[in-house]
Amino acid sequence: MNASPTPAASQVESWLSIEPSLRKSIESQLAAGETVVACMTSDIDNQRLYRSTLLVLTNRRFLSCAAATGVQEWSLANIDKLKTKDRAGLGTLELLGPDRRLAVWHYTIAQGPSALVLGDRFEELKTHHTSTSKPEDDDIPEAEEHEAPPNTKALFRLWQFAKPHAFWMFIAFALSLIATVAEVETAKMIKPLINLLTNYEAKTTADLSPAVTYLGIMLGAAVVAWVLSWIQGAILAWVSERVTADLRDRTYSHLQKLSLEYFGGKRTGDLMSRISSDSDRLCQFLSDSIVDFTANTILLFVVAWALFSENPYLTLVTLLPFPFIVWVMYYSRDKLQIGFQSANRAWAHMSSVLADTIPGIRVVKAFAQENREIVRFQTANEAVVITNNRVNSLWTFFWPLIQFLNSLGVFVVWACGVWLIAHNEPRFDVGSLTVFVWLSGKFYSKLEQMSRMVNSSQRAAASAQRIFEILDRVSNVPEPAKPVPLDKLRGDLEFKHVGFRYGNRKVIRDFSLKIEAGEMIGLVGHTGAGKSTLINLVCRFFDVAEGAILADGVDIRSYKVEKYRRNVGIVLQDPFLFYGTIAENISYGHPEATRDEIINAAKTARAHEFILQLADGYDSLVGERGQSLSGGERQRISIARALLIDPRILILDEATSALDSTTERQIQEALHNLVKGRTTIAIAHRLSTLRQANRIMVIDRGRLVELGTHDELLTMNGAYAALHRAQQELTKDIGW
Amino acid sequence: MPDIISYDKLKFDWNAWGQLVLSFPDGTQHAGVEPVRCFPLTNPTHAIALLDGEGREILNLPTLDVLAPAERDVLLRELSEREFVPVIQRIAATSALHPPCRWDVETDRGRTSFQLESDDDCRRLGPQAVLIADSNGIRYSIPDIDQLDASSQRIVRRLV
Repeated sequence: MNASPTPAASQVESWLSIEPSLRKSIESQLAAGETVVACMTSDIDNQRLYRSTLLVLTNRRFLSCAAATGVQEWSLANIDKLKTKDRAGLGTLELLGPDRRLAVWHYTIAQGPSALVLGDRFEELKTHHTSTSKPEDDDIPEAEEHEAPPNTKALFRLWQFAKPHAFWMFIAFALSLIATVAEVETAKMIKPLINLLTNYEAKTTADLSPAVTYLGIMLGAAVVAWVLSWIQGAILAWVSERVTADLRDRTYSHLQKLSLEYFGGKRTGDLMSRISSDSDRLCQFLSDSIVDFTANTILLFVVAWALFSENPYLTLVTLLPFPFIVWVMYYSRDKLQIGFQSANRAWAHMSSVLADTIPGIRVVKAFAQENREIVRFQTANEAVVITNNRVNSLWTFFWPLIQFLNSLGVFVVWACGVWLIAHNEPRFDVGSLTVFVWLSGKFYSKLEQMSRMVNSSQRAAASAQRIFEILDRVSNVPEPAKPVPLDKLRGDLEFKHVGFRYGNRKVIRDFSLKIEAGEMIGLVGHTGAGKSTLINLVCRFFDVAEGAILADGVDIRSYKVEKYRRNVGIVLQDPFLFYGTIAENISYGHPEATRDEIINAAKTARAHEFILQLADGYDSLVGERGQSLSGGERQRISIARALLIDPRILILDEATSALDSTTERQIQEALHNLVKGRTTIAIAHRLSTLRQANRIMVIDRGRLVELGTHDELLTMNGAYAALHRAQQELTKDIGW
Repeated sequence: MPDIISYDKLKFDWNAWGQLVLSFPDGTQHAGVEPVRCFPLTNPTHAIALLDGEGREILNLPTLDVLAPAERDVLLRELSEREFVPVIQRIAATSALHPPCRWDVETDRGRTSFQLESDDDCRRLGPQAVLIADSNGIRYSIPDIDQLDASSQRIVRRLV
């Protein structure tokens, strides 16, 4: 930002978005030289009804304008403070005078940003600072507002995945067309054959030799149809397998890129079932049903055309039940889709019971709650049965109905045929009737197959819907449009008026701090004070709601997420080891690392010795959760992992709090090596672990309350000193 | 604070700042008291915590009935000021069949619209009641699905 705009100018836009008539009525009240500085809409009135009040801050007054109360105004001189707070999605703006509250308004959180701007502008007016220190908001990519996709067409959206295989799909389509025509052409042979046979029976002819030709053509057409539909089936099966695999890959890679916030609100089992079983259902649909569906649709047209060329009037009668069948299919489709959707949900719920209890099996056993978990699973399983039964009862009703209508179609042909022959209709004989019965039988049997497909297509649509729900999600940690190039950071970190809201709870408020490169900062505070959130913000697991975090003077949102995270190392309280060898786990963040680099990192992390004690050294496998290693050993591996990527910014999230004192001492040595020369933020409950810290910050309820060295903070005799005393007493009490 | 609290002697009032003031019989006062229901969904009338400005609990009322009627009304009004959970009466329109989508709804507090992010934001409370959280964390309740009109019922049942 080159020149900071005057407050009034930067507000013009939000002011102009107010409805003109309302704007005019306010503007007409303004005195000469009075300008609108900020405005917002309070969209909930004091009776908690959705009624709007326009709040306007000018350089002289504060105005409120509502239909019920008219215009009210307060002179700026009488206002001491504008206070905003929010709770459970409802924001409150209080106008405080020197001795009492002047007024109060409420708003939904959607209005929150403009309320904060209003508060900031008010502060500026009060302190007469014309040049604002508001964070630069120019190059910051905005998280896109999530637009609802047209998800009824979920199945059609699969086309984007099928497009690369369009050529093969076209070939399959063409083959299917030829096979169908070949099959129907057989019917052409029926009429002369039947007539030949009736003539032979009536002794009008004694020569049956043309029958051989007819039979030969029929056999040939059947073989051609068989070979072609075989090839077509093989092609489509291959394509559908490819398409679903692509879809699975895309979904999984998209999922990996979503922010932690998304995973926080999702059940593991649900996500797993979306990627595994939903995509499998899609694959089945694509390979089996799409093949049949295209073939059958083509066949329907070809047969209808063949019927028409035989006898148009009889065809019309034959096709009489057809529109009705289509209507029944269409009607059942919607019902089925809803049913399948809830069946899928029940299934996902059952999977999440599994995903919940199997990793938590130790807790289940420790509290002897096996039976309760069994009941929980049974309940979820029962729900699957109930939802499935509901769907089943739907299609078991529709399907026989459609079957009946189909038989009715063929019955109509027989009835008409008998009537026509009885009335000696010219150009209509037993041969024609046989052709008609054969063709219409074909027509309705295919239609019946298609009606079964309604079932599987709706099942697939429901699955596609659930997969696209993931794909449509926009990451809350968006990539910048024009990223600032970044290789290695120097390591300066600066928090500028950082605010963060988790759900509707404000966790970080107006947090500002400058950290020099290479400095180690201890982070102390009660549980829930916002320590971990602060660290999540530094790692860009979440993005700040207000203000900005600058690394080397540039907003971290302007870097590519991946490039930025390369520079950030993190050691967690409970390190997660993936299934694989120790070497693989150490080199997780830097897979190209050489064996020497891995060993060096392990040595510096004091992990080398114990790794050599294991049967296969660095090639030892560690389990899903590294069960075979102790807490301290796992921690040292995770320190080595962080060391190997040589991060400029290092985060220690209670890295030693899960360890006993002896192990902690060893880890401390390893950490000492890790911290050297890096910007470090260390969360610790045990203050003793922060001895090396250059400065210690104490946060309480999202605010920075104290900052300084250990000694400074002790002499300050505030929150830190209290914590220190408490820990000393604890040590004395339990005799450490 | 006395060991045995005579709850019916507690007084609640508002000061000029609009803050709730709790007065004990012995004259001690706490301004800016925030009442919080411990079980807002499963048992709203029991265990009402009274927090001071710092979020520390001053007192926990076993039930609202222990208070003198006049004081109870003050507290109930304060509670209602803090609880903004519109009751959905009708779902006028949805932008799509499934989340993420926007809902236009009629509530007991007027008409509004909100963004529903995922079906996980619809939480079933008991056999008939549903609680819906929008993308901003505002919650909407449906005390009884059966009381909704047919089309709204269909929309909700699809989600829970």
